[in-house]
Amino acid sequence: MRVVNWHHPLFLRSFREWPRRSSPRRLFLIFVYLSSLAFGLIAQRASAYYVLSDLPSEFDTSYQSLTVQAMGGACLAQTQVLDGMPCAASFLALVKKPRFFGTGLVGNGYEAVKATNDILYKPMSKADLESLFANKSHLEASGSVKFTFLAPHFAAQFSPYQASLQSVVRNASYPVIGIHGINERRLGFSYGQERWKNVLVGTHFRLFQRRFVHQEVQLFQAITNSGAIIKPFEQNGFAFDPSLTYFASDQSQFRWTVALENLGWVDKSFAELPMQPRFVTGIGNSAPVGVGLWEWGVDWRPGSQARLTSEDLSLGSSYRLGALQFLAGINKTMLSGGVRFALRTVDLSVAYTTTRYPSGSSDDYQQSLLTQFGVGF
Amino acid sequence: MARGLRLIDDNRPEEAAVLLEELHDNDPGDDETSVALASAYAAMAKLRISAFYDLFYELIFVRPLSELQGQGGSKKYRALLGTAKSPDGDRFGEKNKLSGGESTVQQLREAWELSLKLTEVFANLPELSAEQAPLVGESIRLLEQLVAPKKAHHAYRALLRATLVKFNSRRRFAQTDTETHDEKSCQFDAEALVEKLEETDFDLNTLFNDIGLAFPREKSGLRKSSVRFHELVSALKAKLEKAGPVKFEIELKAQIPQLSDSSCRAP
Repeated sequence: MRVVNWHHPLFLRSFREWPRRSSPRRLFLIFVYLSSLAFGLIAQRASAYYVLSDLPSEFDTSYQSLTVQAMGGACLAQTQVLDGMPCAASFLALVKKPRFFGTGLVGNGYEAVKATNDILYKPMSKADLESLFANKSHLEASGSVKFTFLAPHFAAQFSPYQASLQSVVRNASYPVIGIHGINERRLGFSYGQERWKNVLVGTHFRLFQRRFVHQEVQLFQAITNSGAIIKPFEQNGFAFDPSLTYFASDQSQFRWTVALENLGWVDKSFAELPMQPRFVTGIGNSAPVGVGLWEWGVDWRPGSQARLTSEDLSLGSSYRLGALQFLAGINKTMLSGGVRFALRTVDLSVAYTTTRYPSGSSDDYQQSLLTQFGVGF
Repeated sequence: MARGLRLIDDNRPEEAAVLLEELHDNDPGDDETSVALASAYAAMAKLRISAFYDLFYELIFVRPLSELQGQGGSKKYRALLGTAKSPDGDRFGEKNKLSGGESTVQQLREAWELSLKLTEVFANLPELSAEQAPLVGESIRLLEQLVAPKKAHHAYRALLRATLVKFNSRRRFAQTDTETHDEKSCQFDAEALVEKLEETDFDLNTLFNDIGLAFPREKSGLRKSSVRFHELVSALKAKLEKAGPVKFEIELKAQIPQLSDSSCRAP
């Protein structure tokens, strides 16, 4: 057996040169180290799929709040995600008042959400599958129910239902349908604090239970097969998402966040739903414009080959004006916009997204309408 | 291969076919590539399966061939066979079994009626042009050569073949309308007609065989639809071979008065 010699001069020297405990520099180096680890773990995923080889990012299970989707997934642009948990736990250091709220989101109507539920929880008949083929080239749906508690430094969220579905039909001369549907029940806790001047640190911990379908079915396979065609899988696990933010205390509120996501464990591994650590970084800025506040930001999620989804770079912007918040976002495959109207206890949000599906050079777009209702105290 | 499939999605099937042909040549035993290439040819023939597969499904499960009544087809054959007299006065269709005493024209008419039913059954399937048909034929050929074909592949092949059978059927029978609208024409080539019926019989057998492989439960029902046609065609062919073309014509002329009409001159 090969034993590592920890007294080797190389190791000793490295430790001797390691920055002093608790210094920001040391923390930064830890992040760099963990990030490289994450990159190392990210294997180039050789996709066995044709239709589902590249999903748009709204099917990424990390974020589902309407304002985040309306900002094209630029999660780190907002210092406060007003309808959910902050995307980086480090932002919890900026929360001033405790708040509890519940939200319900429906994407593309009740029927689409019901179809998602049926696909995930009911044996799919031949007729159901054929109706998906007959439907149109794409079908998108999402639905979620969340209860969130936010307080200075601490947040908790319970999401009993958070489902999304995408089905795409390809090759009209030999039709193949790709179905990706997932429901994730989640319980999460976050902690964040200002560890050093202008440096915020935090971590998010979540327990999750997933049921998902990720399958490609040929039309002729569907009409000739008499058994179950769609097979859902289940996965349970937990994950940590540590984050570090530099936050300028001046009026610009410039912030730069580096975070690691998906450091965790799952009971069953599936290539269809990779649980791989990933590195995320983003910058954001705020500026008072008129009587409102304008925020913008860019998120970068490198190493997308290891993920299901396709975007690397997302740009999002928000303008808050009293009870109204206007949102817009863009990334490689999605253009989005939305508006949120929030009173003290009730808020209503609507977002519209146009998603481009990779299909050669032709334009292939799917529009979605998301509505979200929230009650808060 | 994914690139080839994306080219099909991108409405560039010719480029897809070139790419997939190369892959297929490198590994002819890879069924997935063969099916992808077959779909590229189908795309070149502008066949959008999702737009009409339900008609095919209907053909198998809802309106079986045997329940249909023939309509349409060549006016010329219809007119000529319609004037035929049955020697024993038995109306067409009442005899379900072919007997030795059944007249040639009766058999010919029944076979003809059945082939018209076929035209009607396929009426809603896409109409292939002379340029598209060879591409569909090439798709079928590829699917016939699969190393380990699955039911889904048989179903695909059956559907493609159905469009080709329709094309062939139209070409064989309906096309004669364009040749002449003269119902008194003496260009009634019984030998050619039997030959066409024989080709149709072969097409039907192959099609039903494909459908049977894809949907084994439907196999016996489909067989019933084709067995009568096959009997008729075999009997006609046997008579033609036994009597020879000349005697065969004479027998027909005796039963189709129009053919013996003095106003009908030989071409």
